[in-house]
Amino acid sequence: MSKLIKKKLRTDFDADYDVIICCQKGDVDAFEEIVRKYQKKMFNISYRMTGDYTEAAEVVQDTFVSVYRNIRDFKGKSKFSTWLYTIVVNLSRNKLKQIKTRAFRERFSIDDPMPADDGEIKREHASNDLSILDKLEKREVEQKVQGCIKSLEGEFREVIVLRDIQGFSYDEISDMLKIAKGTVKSRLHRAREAVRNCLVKVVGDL
Amino acid sequence: MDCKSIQEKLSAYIDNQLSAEEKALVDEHLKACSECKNAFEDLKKTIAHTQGLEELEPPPWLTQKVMARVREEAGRKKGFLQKLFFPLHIKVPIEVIATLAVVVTAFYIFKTIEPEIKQTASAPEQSIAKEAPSEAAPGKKKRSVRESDILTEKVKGAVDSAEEEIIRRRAPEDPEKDVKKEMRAFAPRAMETAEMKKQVMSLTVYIKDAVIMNKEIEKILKKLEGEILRSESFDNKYFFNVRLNSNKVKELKEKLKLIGEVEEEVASSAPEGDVEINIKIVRTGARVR
Repeated sequence: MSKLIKKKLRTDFDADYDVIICCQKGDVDAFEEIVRKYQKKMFNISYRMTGDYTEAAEVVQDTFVSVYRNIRDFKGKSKFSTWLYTIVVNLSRNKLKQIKTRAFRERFSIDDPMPADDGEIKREHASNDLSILDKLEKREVEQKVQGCIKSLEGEFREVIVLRDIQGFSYDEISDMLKIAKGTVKSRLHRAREAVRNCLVKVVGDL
Repeated sequence: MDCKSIQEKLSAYIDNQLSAEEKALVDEHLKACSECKNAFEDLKKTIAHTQGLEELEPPPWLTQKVMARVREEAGRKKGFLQKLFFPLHIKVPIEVIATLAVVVTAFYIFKTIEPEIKQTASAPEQSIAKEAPSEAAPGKKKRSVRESDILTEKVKGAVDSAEEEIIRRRAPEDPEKDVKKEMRAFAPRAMETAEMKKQVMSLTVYIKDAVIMNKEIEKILKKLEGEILRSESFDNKYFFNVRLNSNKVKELKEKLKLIGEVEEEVASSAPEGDVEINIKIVRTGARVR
């Protein structure tokens, strides 16, 4: 890596700089730090995009292996995390296509009410103030929201996951998806509208 | 601005992505338009629902599994690189030895197949010389080459025995060149001999005066329409290799008996057509042992 890139890395991305250097030198243990730091967010991106817990886990593994394989190619042009998330988005997109093809072959409609497969998943309990009924209701609504997001076309699903669920900026999304900012805006609006229409149908009152 | 345009901008409005002017326009419109205001509220709630989705915990085994795969990847890379890039002081001698091994092997192989190369070079020569007069088609040529190969072997066999005979018969002063000439000339004959082995007769005639006998035999054979294929003489012996029709053989024998004592070697089979006869004339007092 040239001195200029090294310098850029150091000034902009202190957080990951040292670890990246170690990984590029072949330090496998240093890579574990990166895995622990980013796996949750990556997993959630993938899960929301694919709608499948198991597939999401696989995507995350594939992403990390791909990153390790190509870590020497990382030149510091963008943030390391952006690079990471871009890969996970791409792999999730591919995985989603696979899932859809499989589902089509099995004649299983994606628009059917989603099975409650999330029931056994460990969740972060954001709030312990809610009563049991409230929690159940919340759970139910969540499942319906997830279902509506799942019903979106791939490109709309991507923007809504990255923006509303993961909180990336328009610029970051534009970088990751390699689309113009204006496209992000319009796509996001249409995605939100679609979710809204879907929610009205399944939940009734928003 | 109409409601449709306003509503299209609501997403960006919520996210603070509009320019100052556009934002002001939307602000104004929303104050006045209840429909757009409802749309705005709906959009906000939708976003809230989506944002409200809980973040899931990845499976507990995920880190472990990732690291296992990464370590496997690292191991593979290392092994591959190690194989390619041995330290030079080990790699170079190995390469040198390998090159030498190839060269030596090639040399030995060449040595082994060299005589075969020479053989295949000479055999076509013989067959080509024989086949030249007859214009053979390529297919036929192949066959004839193969035939001549077989014949070459027969010739060899016949030549070997003939060679021995000639060496026995030849006077020591005779130059080797002549022997070789005889050999070559004899070769096709020997071939015929090999083929017609069954039809060769051998007669030995014992006489007092061999020189006269020689001329007499020539006369006899001419009379009987026989063909003298070959004749030789040395010491006290004369040899004739003669071709004669089988029905004349009896007559020949009778005529020879008039000149001297005739010994006949047992003929191998009843002759048909032309017969080849070896006539040996020996001066009495010098019997063949």
